[in-house]
Amino acid sequence: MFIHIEDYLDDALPPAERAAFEEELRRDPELAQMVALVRQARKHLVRQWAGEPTEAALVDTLRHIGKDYFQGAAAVPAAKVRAVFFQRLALAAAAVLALLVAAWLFFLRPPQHERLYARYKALPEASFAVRSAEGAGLSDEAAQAFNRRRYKEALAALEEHLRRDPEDAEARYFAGLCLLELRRFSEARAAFEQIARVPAWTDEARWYTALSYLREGNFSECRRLLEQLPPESVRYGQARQLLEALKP
Amino acid sequence: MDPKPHPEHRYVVALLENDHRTIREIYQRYAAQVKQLVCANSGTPDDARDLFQEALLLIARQARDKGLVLSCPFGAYLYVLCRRKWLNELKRRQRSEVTIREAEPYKGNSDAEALADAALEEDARRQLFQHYFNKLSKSCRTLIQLSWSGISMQEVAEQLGYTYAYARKRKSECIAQLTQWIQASPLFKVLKQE
Repeated sequence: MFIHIEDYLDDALPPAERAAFEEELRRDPELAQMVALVRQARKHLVRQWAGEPTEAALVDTLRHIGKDYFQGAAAVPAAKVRAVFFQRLALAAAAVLALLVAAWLFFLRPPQHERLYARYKALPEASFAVRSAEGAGLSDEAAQAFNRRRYKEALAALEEHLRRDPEDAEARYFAGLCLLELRRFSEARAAFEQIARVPAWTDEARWYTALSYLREGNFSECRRLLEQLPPESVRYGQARQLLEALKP
Repeated sequence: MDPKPHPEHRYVVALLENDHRTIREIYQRYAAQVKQLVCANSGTPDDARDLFQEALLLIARQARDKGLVLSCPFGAYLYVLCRRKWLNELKRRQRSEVTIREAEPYKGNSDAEALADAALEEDARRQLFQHYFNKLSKSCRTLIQLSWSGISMQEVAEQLGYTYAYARKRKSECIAQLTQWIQASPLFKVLKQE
């Protein structure tokens, strides 16, 4: 049914078929409703995609300017602590807290490259449901393992699938992400390099290759790759932000 | 005859054109009011910043997609939008009825209320489609996005390494999944059809 609906909306039906389809639309309100829904979905999504680059630039501006106007919490008046005992207790607690914060800063706080990686990685959610229903062989267990951050398990399932179907770019993309999470950087990059040749995956492959260098602490290589992302890339806005954050 | 836009329509144009200087003026004039609204109603300055930013993005989208023509002061429209959005956010957080304490600076501005209603309904619709589209597998999303971006199915199939017949069949399954989710969504039933 959807093949027909799409052909109709693309104006790709021959005149006789088009007339027949329109006749069916008049008779079948359910079909008419479905055509209206697909038409709406197309309109909204296409509009959204078309507006993304300019919207990303506007978001950058708003973030940048917003910082100047919404700084700091409005001072919350502290409750007056009357008893000296409580004042001292509070001071002691603050001192302990300060020590803990200092210890965290010096010993436990993740290094800058890990913090930036965590902020920018935004791993996608895996969902292979439609594919497994088609019998493409990639089980939804791989997706579930990935979404639950069980990367070793997800990687094993993905690699097994890739042995059978080495051309599956989506599976290789998620395998690359697993490798990146497992800190197996050069293998992750090799996976991304393979899918970068498929136009639909080029952007993602480049972006996560850059993030692999970031996580490794190789800022200069990360910067070099980010700078190569073209403005039409969906990752361009994030790349510019990350470049800003990486400025010495 | 088209209605004459309000003189402050220039702020809408500034958002469309990403005009930094005028956008800064928007923050200068209206940020404090929204910060006060949010901070007096269980929010933080960070919440206020995000809310303000989302409302401005929404206005920009309304201008870009729906040809918004401002018929009331920009501040009134922006404030009513922020107020409604914040009320929704508080409801979401508390999962119960909430009221807002405020000085109600733009109470009774029916133009601002009507514009805000239209914008929020449009935004809900946009989010509905976006949400379920994002739920699709990456390959479905790529396939749909490529084919709806105006290139032929033959080219789409070549780009993705599929046969033409498989690409068509696959696209049909992906769209079936998308529409099934959308139709089952409670929000879809609430939103008026366009």
